Amino acid sequence: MIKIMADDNSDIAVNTRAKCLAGLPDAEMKAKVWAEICDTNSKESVYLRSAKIQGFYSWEQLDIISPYFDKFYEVLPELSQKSPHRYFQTFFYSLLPTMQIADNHIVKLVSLKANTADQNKNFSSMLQDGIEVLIRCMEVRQFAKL
Amino acid sequence: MNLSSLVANYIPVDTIKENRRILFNTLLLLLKQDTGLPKDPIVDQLFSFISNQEHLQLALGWMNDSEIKLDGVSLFKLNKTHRYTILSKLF
Repeated sequence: MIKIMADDNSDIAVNTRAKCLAGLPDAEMKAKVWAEICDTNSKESVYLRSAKIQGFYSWEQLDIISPYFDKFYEVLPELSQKSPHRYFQTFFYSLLPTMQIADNHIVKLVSLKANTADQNKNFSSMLQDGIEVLIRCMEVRQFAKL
Repeated sequence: MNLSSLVANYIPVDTIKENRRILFNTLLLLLKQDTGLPKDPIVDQLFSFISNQEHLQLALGWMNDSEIKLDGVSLFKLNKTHRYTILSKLF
């Protein structure tokens, strides 16, 4: 990374560095990055945090990232309330766990939606979209196996 | 939704790796052939399908040379964004 980027401190270089570090197959690094992307008081730019989100999941790291599939649902209510909508949208659609879909994940989204106030339409419709995405992924994958 | 997301979400999980490998090779072949198609969208998609050690080695060479080469023939000049995208795939 040092060889390629040298002392490039442009936005794209800074974001790429963050994405690379978030993608390291290291449990401690994942925990650190997870705390950063879930920090509702973060002063980092949406672009930098989005880069970390983009690097977080990897098919080759399922053993390290699968604990975060459950954590994802736990942090949604607070993040939806305290984060800018644009950031929350990136977080939700990038980290919605479609790699391993379990029935209880869909139940969690349904439960969250049921406990969301009617006036919180953005969050509610995003949860509904998430439910539909998970069901669609499951059904299409099952159909493709036939 | 882009091609990479479609592959990641809508085919059986146990076939994803193999299909990513096939798509990488298909996109590279498309890039090599003079089809008249714009090459930028092909290159933009190509790096999403780096899926094995062979692809990584190939992409590493492209990153260092700042161009996509196949059999010694230059197919596409890479810009900084492309090179950094490859770099993030190496991690």
